[in-house]
Amino acid sequence: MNELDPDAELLPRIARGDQSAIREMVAKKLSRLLALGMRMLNDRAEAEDVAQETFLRVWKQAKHWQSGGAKFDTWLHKVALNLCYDRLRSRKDYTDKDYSDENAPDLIDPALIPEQRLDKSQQGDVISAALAILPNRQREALVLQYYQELSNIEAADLMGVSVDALESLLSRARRNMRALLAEQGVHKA
Amino acid sequence: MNIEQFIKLTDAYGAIIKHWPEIYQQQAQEVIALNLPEVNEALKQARLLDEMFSSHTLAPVERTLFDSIVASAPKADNPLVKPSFWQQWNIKSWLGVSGFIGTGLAGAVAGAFFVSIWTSGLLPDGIDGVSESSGTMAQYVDVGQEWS
Repeated sequence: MNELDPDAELLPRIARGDQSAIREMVAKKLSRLLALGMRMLNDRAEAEDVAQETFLRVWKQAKHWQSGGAKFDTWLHKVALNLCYDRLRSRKDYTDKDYSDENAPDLIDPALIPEQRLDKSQQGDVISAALAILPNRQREALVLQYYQELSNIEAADLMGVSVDALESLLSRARRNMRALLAEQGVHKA
Repeated sequence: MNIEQFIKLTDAYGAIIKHWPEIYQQQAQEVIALNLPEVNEALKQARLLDEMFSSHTLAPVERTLFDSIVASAPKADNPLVKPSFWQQWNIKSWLGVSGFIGTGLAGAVAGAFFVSIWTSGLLPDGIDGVSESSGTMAQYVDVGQEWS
């Protein structure tokens, strides 16, 4: 099974305290975890905290890991996503509906993009702002499928939805992003 | 795959067909090859959005973060790592145990060798007497007397 999960062979070595395996794991996964956290939380410091906490879970899990189940990378994403949602829930503007409602409105009011973000000329900042106001589940679907490059089955499994539901979330996420970016003159609708 | 299905999947997965589920990729290429206006328009719109998304890059990982995460990992003396019984029997333990056993075996072999020679009658008569405790003590005393 290890040939299907390239990360699995590192875990027993990590459990033994093998520093080269530890460094290899961090080198392979840190930027990926940080990107996930950044795009889910739109906050670098919080994303770094999530990455650190996720690796602490990896160290604890290493000696218990059994190949043959979920891929390690999928498990890693699950842990990081849970930590991201813990942080999102602690925010004042968080609502349960935003988290769980698969039928969140298709189109978001572009005026919801914070004023200070619109002042920034860089396209990346506008995209960050647009991502930040997407409904959580739409953002999660887009981040997992597009940016983290997970397969549709992996992403749907992580989100606990069917592939059809994932595709619906993706379509709405892209439609909303297109509308938001068009409003800012970044994208021609 | 019909045109509606293609457009629906483009809406979900974008214009980069390799990002699509594998089972659809071949059929999608066949639809693209038809060069239909509605297909081309859907791809164009999706491609524009993909380009926007791909422009969203993030700052690289800082060295201090990398180092602090590595430092949080298990080490030999880290309580996160509780070695199992068999892990505790590491190479040093085995060397200690094997050294003790080896010394004992060497003594036993030497003793057996000595006894076998003794019982075979190959030892000279003088040494034969040394094996008796009283003789050993007598020889020791004799030597001491000569020194004095």
